[in-house]
Amino acid sequence: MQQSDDVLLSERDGTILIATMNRPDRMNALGGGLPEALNEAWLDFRDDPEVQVMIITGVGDRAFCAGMDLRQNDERARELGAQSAQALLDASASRAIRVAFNSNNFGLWKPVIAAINGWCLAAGCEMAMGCDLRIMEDQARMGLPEVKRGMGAKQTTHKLHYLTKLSLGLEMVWTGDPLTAQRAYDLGLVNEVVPTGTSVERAKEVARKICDFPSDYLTYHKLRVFQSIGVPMDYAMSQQQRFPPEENGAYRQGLQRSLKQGVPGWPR
Amino acid sequence: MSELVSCEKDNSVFVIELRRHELGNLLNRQLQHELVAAWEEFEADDSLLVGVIHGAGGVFSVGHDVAELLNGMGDALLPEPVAELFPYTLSKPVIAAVEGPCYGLGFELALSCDLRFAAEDALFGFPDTNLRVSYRLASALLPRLTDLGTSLDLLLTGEVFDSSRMRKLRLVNKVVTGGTVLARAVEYGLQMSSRLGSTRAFRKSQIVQFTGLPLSTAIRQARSESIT
Repeated sequence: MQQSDDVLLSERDGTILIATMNRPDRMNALGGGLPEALNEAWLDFRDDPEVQVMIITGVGDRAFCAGMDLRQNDERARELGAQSAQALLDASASRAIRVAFNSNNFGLWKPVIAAINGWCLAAGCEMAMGCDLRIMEDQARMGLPEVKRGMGAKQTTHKLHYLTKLSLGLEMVWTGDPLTAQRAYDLGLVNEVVPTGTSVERAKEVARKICDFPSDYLTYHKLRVFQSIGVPMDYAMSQQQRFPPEENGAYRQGLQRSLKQGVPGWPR
Repeated sequence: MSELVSCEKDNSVFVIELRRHELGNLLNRQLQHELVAAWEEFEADDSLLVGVIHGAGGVFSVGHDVAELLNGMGDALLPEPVAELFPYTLSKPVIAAVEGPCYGLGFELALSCDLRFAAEDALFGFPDTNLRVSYRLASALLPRLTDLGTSLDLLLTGEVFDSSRMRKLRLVNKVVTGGTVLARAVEYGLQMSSRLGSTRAFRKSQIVQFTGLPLSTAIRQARSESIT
């Protein structure tokens, strides 16, 4: 049974999983067991065939996630005798292999939506950038302030120019200044801006639309997009995966439904 | 001979019209083969520099011909479109002039053109949630044309975007009022021809290929090409 003092709350709504970060007194910073709980949630989501879309958000309307828990990092640095942020990172890197959600290194090809309900900073921002879609509330702010602490946004810098334009990505990383929701939207970093307190509801609506597609259609296309970036066009197109994979029954049923329902607005 | 695709020359601009509008310009096999023949004619004719493609009857194309897939294709054949259907592999630039719905395979066709001009009423997307087909080319083109989040939004949610949203996302080059989108595209094609003068000057294949090369490699390759 889930306790309200769990650092990560999860809720099921049909085939949608809603994971809510719950460390409000620490602005949902990644510490106190939250990173471990998130890793577990991502793996469970990946491996559960009953769940098609995941929404990630934070409690309340103050913070989505403020990043690594620096207070906890500081304690750990003392423990290790690390003299700099980099030394701490180096020391932490030697721990067990981390599930890096942001880089899809554990093969998560199901759609994930970030419902950004408040401050979304540093590692929190990177987590949101690692999601496929971002829905942001208009009071929320997003940024990569690592530069101000002599650190780097390592999980996101490789991807920033795919998420927005190169110069704007550099501006974000080099100034460390947070962006308003409207500015993030203008830069293409978020898909939608919605009123305060409504990002989860809107994310659920979008998730339900996603769930109308067959799950193998979704994983196929997400994978295709990621495989097609950073390689020459010829190479991207020479990868001959086909869809659907041998499933003629489902394919034909889909055609029949398609023929019956048509596409929106046509015929008109 | 040709029935579903018609072609017309306006000086250096080749205008291709999809003529199956009573059926939403659904891209059946016959139309696909006729379109491939049109691209071949365009590519082979040295007097032609810019292509323009549009759909007759106020609709660009609503996509796959589902009835044909269902009745004619047989179980062994998956609905891969004809390989040469998409003009991104041509050496010459092509403008899609889009009015009305532009969905699914039709959207993929428009994305594979180099520029997109859209009427205010144009609508774009992959809204058919029943069709289990692959949009392989769109999956590779979208993240090159716009940001990653938008690419995934279009492919995974099935949401339909209007012209102004497409313009903001850099997926449409110009939004044009009323029924003038074809005329504007042709006019623009003529301007492009007079400015650049030869197909070599467009350097299209290079630009497309460069999108996925390490920058240092792209620069080295560009330098080694002679400019004629």
